[in-house]
Amino acid sequence: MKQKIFGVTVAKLTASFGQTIYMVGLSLFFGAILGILLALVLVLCRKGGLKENRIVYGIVSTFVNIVRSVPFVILIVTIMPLTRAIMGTTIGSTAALVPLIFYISPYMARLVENSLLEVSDGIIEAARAMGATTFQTVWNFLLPEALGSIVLALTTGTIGLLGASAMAGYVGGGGIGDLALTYGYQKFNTPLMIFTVVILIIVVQLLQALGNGLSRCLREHN
Amino acid sequence: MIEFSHLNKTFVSRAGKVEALKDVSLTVENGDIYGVIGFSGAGKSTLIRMANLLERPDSGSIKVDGVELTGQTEAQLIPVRRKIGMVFQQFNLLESRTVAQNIEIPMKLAGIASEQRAARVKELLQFVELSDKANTYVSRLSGGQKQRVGIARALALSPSILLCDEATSALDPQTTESILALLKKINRELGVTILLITHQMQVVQRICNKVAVMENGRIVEQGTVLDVFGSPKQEITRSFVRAIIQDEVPQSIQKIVKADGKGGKIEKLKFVGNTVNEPVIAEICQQSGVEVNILCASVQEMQDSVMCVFLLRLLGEESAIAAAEAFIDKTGVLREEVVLK
Repeated sequence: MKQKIFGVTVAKLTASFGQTIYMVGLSLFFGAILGILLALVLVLCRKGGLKENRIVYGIVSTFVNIVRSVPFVILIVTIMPLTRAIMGTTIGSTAALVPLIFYISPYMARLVENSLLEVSDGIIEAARAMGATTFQTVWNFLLPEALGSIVLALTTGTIGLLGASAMAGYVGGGGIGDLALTYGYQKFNTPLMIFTVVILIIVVQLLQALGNGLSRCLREHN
Repeated sequence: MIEFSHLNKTFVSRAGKVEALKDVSLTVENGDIYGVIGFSGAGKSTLIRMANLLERPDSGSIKVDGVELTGQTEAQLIPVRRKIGMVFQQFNLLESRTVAQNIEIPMKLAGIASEQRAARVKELLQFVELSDKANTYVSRLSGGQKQRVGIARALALSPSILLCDEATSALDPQTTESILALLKKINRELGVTILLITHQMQVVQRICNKVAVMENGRIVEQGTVLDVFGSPKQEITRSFVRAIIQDEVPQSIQKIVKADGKGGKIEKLKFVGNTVNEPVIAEICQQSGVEVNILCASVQEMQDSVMCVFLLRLLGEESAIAAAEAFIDKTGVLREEVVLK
């Protein structure tokens, strides 16, 4: 693997790809679960919701807003003690997962909250009228009806995550973004920088197309 | 049986207080098709939501089959709600599911085994005449078909009561007719008691046996359909009656009557139920010797009976006209003198 593309080895390139997929994939998985849970809490506890609870709503909503207002680089540094406590280290791709999940969950929560609010009140009323428990309402009515929209929300979240993962280089997380920054920009290797940016553009396009396609499938139920 | 007594409900919002229900009492007997009619904002939506406690009253009592509901928690209400079907104006079906899956949902929630569910779905599809659409996605159906699915879903757990919230308001007249026929079939064949709310006179006229008229959160008139619409006491009730039956002298005829200068009197005769069989008009002529001219006549079927309105012009001596009036009153036909403006 001595062959070089734009001044870096193929091994380095594939490793960077691997790191990005690892970071985005895992934080997407956990971020989506946490985000959907937070969104459900927001939707159920909001005024007029099935489990209206102003205190819980206020706390979760404020927490989401606070985390969302911290720039990602600052967030990485701020929660380092937490990262160390969970992962045992603050350096590397695995350590980067903690701030990434911390960053993306509230973002996902807001996006999914919007998706869930698109489900008409009538559906929820029908669920209540036929004697559905809260869990049944969420599982059989709210989530299935919002699924197409949730997929789009997760797509938007994934693309946000891809951008955030570039900054993971700050804690030695590596990845394509880090490659562009340290090997491209800082070493004045403009072709490499442009190359990685083009790759990112292609990946984002593919992700969006995939998300749109999946969502359309779910909405149109061929 | 549903018994609402002295229900009050006030909604408080930033825009101010809205008294949706004011001392509303109403009893739906088993086997009734009870219609609550009123314009939007009259409080009828709030009322129907009280029957399964989707909306809780501020005060008053709600009994379904003798059981008081108002003190019960959401969890306690679950089995009650499973015995009360509900159909909605906007259908409220799951667009992401097929027809069969939609109908199956209440049974799934109630924990019924899947073979039993499948058999029941088949039965229900046949009942609502949608057997060929079992695996079609709801988003591909027409409005009338969607409402049939909504009705089948509401019947899934064999409820004794069906609530219809403006079930036909989003449908065209022809589809409305077919849905009304289906509701009537449910009432007759399955013995399901129906409480419905509507702003369409056609609905009450076609299928209801009892009616309550609501205005500004109050029930202003209630009783059997023939009683309430046969002799409406409130202006709003009269306006609903006018929607289906011509009971005023048309303008063009008024012009002719005024112009010919023959005088006489104009009487409005209302035949309801049994009185339809009486040969009253023929007898008026024979008994009193007045000349009878029918200006306008209108017949409507209602509650499996009919209501006819005749606008008659009586011509002749004053004493003869008075005799004719006395005769009409004796027959039990409702009479009202009409004075042209």
